[in-house]
Amino acid sequence: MAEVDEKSSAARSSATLESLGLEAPVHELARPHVDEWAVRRMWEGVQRRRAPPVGRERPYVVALSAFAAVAAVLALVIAGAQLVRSPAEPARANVDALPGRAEPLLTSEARRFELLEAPPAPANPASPSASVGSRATARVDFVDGSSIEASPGARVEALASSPGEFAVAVRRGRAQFRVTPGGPRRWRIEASHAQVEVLGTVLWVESDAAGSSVRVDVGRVLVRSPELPGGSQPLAAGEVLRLGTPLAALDAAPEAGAAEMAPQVLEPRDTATPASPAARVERRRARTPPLGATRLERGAAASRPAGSRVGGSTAAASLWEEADEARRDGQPERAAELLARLVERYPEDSQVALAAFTLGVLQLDRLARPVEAAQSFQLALELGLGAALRDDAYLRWAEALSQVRDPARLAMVSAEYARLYPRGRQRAAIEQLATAASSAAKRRAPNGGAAPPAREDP
Amino acid sequence: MNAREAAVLPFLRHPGGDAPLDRELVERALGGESLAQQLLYRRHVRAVTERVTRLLARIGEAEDVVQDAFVEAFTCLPSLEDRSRFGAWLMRIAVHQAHRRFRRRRLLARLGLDRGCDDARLEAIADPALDPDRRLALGRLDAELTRLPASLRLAWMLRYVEGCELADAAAQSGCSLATIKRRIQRADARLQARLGDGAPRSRSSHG
Repeated sequence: MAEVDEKSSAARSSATLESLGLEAPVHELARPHVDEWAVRRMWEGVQRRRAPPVGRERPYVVALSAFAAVAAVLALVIAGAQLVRSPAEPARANVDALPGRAEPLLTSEARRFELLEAPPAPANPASPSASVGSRATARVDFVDGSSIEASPGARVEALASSPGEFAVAVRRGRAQFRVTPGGPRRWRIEASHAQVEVLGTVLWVESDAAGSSVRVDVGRVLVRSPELPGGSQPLAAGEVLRLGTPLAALDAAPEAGAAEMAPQVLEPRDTATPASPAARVERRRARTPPLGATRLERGAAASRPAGSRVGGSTAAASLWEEADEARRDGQPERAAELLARLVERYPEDSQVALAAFTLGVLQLDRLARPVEAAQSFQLALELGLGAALRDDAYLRWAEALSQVRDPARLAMVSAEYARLYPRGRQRAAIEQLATAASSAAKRRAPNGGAAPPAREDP
Repeated sequence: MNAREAAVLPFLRHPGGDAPLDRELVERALGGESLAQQLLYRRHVRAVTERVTRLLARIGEAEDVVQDAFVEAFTCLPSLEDRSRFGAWLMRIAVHQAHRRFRRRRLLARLGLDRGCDDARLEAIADPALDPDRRLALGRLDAELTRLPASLRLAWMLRYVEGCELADAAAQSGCSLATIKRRIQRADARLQARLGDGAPRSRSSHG
């Protein structure tokens, strides 16, 4: 029998393996194929499991599940009876009951969010050129990538956290909410006179005793208030809703250059029955990204250290604008560099998938860098590129892989596209590229075998 | 590497010993960047999946364990002291989860509830170009490995299938160096007793 001795040359040999005619380590001989499908499938599983646990079927819990189901039905019956007795029970009572029953949404420091309070602004405020992030703001990041940033003097309190909902209240002042889309929880933000329901978006909420304002920068929210016609009002990106006594307007953005973003008053959605004259919906003339970027902020963004997330949306917007300018000016190198920086520094920006796609187009069409282009297109797709561009992204990804002569990955892309879009308009083109690459590889390889890929599998 | 490459290429770099990049990604993940988590996942998922699949010999269970391992790793990320060692730490979590899975599998088998199929035995996932003798040898090894107690099987496989250093094997098994040596010796002795005689030798030492 071999001696198990770290220092001897026989340390890695085994009498068993020797007798079998095998050499350690055996993993060189037996390597399971972990394809892109498995990688993505498992990632989705990781994301699902990071959400509060949902029951996974296991043989020995079936009976327990049945018992739990019966108990749940009984509980529902009892709860229903209680609701019948007290129909006017406020929703808040349910919210308060939630935290103890489920996993809370934790902050990035693995703590439970309770309170976010920013110190009041100094009497003599900083120069108008300062961005929001450079003032005395307070910020909390959550493990799912969401964040809350309270402006000076603002106070945000936790109300509840459950598998399906995370609720906070803006007690005073203004706060920015960046809610990562696709998460398992609905965010509910309570303010004076209003309640905002959020799935994935960037918005500002300002509240005090007199009223509140909600401004949506990205995505869409639903605002509920007795002052609104019908009790609720959907709000899209670029729109502002004011309830109660108008506040110091959110649209009077703290950034310099706010004048060009002055709100444009829209017609109320239901002018026939306005529930409150104080409720008005306004839309910004702001360009995408909605918060806009002033030239003064660009300097501030450039001076921030890499990875800084303060004022992320504005800095990302600056990079977008500069990249657009560089493209228009015929500087693809510069544009690609800016887009790459945007992708790296602001991965949670709502436009990051589009940035990765644009970067890939530049790399493929203008810079003749197909290896990098393939990575950019893959990244864009993984980051959830919009449906309108996914077709093109797959085709361009395939074109890039075709240029780098990587038939194996090209076949994988082709199979993935065919699975996702059986009638996709680019299917024939992608399959043609895959077939051509495979044929070329066979011609190149001796004995008609498959040629090795031109680059390492990323 | 220019600025552009530095910005984009590391995202999808194949896993390797790039500890500084791991450290950076861990710090960014701790800062709340969901993409950093995804990049950490992409850098390590293949290595972890390959190892766990070989250990468990079941693809479905391996994927389950890998997902649990990443969930545990991301949840406990703040407790990781040496952030450049994310890969080794993650692997330890995964192997520990695999060990637990072995124990559960044994319990289910005793209750007659283990309906799993060893679809990723070493022989089944062997290189298609492997010569028949060594493929047969892998098959015999598979059969005997399944008869070993979980702790012995894990120790022996980490050492001789995965090629781990003793210290790494001990760390991943959650035991001392002396214990891992003892387990490996015992496992090798048992396997040798069953396989030592009459095992076919390959026609050449290199495949």
